[in-house]
Amino acid sequence: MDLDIDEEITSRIGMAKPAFAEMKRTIFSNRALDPDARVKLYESLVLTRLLYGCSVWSDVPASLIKQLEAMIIKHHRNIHNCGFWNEDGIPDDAFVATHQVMPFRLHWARHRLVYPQHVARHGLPVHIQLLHAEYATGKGWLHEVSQELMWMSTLIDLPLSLRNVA
Amino acid sequence: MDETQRPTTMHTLKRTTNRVTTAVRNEDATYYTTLAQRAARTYTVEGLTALWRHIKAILPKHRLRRSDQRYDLGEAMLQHFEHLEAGTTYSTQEIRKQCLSRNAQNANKQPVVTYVDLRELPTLAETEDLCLRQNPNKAPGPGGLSSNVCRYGAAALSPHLHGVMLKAFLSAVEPCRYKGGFLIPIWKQKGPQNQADSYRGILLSETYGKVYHAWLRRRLLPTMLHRRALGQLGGLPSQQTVSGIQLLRLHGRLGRANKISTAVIFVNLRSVFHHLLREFVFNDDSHMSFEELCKVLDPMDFDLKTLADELRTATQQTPEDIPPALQRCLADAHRNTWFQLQQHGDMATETRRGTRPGSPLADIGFNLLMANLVQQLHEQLSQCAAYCQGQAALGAQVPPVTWVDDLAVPMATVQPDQLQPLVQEVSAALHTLFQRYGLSLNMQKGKTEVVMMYRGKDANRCRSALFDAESPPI
Repeated sequence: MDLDIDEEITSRIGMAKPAFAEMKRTIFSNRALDPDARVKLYESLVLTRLLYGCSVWSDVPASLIKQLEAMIIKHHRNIHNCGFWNEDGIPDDAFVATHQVMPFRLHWARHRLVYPQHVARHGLPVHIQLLHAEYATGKGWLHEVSQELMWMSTLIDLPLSLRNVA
Repeated sequence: MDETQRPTTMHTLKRTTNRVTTAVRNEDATYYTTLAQRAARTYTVEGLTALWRHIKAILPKHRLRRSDQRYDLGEAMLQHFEHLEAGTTYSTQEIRKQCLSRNAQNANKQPVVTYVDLRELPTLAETEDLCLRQNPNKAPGPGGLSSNVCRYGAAALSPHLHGVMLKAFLSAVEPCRYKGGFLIPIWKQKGPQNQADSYRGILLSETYGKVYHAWLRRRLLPTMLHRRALGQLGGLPSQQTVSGIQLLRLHGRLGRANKISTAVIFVNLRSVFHHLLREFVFNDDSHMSFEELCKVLDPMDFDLKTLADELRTATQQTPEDIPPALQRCLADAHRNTWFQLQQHGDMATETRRGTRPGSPLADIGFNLLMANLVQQLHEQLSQCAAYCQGQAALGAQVPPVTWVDDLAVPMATVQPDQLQPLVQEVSAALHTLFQRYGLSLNMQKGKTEVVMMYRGKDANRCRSALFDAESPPI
């Protein structure tokens, strides 16, 4: 098993890019379709390819996260026809806020926060044992998820003690 | 050609070319405008799924993707599928006659199941539920009835179908037409299209047969859950492929953290759904003989005499975790199975092995066999000292991970130089184990593979000895 997450993410990007390009003319730049419908189609036809298996990604380099963020924003700019090619020229932050684009980090966090529930309910005992062993090393997937939960606890009240997360 | 004819012809050609170009462009514009309008309407009225169905057909990738058979391969295609599933071709009447006479024979020969628990019987609610679960817009089988009829007419149909299922279950005899269907060759998207082995077959069976088989599958699922091997994920409820991915990744990460050398063997089996010997799973009363095995398996690769003996032994065993009535039905569902290639008119092929891809029983049949194989593999591995030491050093017993026909065997060793001999030993064990069950490893490029990660003292030397060698040592 190749432990480098870089290659997996690069191959996911390599799958999502052609998927978007293939359907760009017919769907994503099709002005006859409502932009909301195009975004929904984008989520089901392109994002699913990009984010497949992202619930178990960990130790993702910052450069790749940036690349993923930029790709999603670029695609949304194409869908909303808002970019350097017309005179709107709004920066990414303003574009994301105006069109309520969900950034990659949130998609990723959502997937990662749902997955522990699955592991807790249906995971093999050895799976949970390995997760604990990796957590003890001070890094890895469970460590990152517990940090995400801590971040979440600053926003909402969680129905669990974070000491018991791991 | 005189002086005027050439320029006149050239002028006419140019004018015609311009006209054709304009006509094609106009037609394109009209087509895409209509499509865009239709897309907007479809989305509003029928929703996103319907819209995707409309759009999919015109996407370049899907437009170019031709998976249907484009060459008339004639007998070669029939021979290919005959060999895959150990089939013999007869006329359709002959197949039907054989099936009926076998049913009559079995009715006299079989000991009558005198006690059937009421909870074992198919219920009307189950029948209706399974009818409603049929996927819509599926290609019809030999009956010619679309799955839509079954799905949308479930309430009206299910009482009648329930009667048929009840009779089939109690008598352990299903209608002959449930046993087969049209076999459609689908190109694997690789290999030359004019060669039969570049195609895989998918069976279009009758919708009502599928409902009956889906019910049998549902009743067999508790047995599967009971028999499942540790690490067996595919085809079971509430399991995800990412769990398998994460297990293997965690194994490697822990190896890295503890500076232990690790390896994973990814096993790919050749045409498993076609090659599976049914006797090992469904206790068919007439096992394949040595002569029949000789026709489909290479004597150089398999010990056919031992295999024939093991098949005979397997048919004599009675599993205790499957109710007797269900056992009889499962054996009957895998008897006298047949397929018909559409271009072969009145001829059909009776098959002897395989779980028939396309049947609801296909995956569970294979999973039951795999559970047994993985169990045996696990026992063999636990007797290997280097393997056990590695697991102990890692601090966790990571079992072989399987997803239906995909198998990954993770292993670890304390010393890097122990890794290569261990991989060789496990590979040999895998080869022997699958051979005993009539299956073979697919050793083509990109199929069965090993990923080795050397860590710790002497790792560089071992890595260099393995990867820089002129001829690969494994």
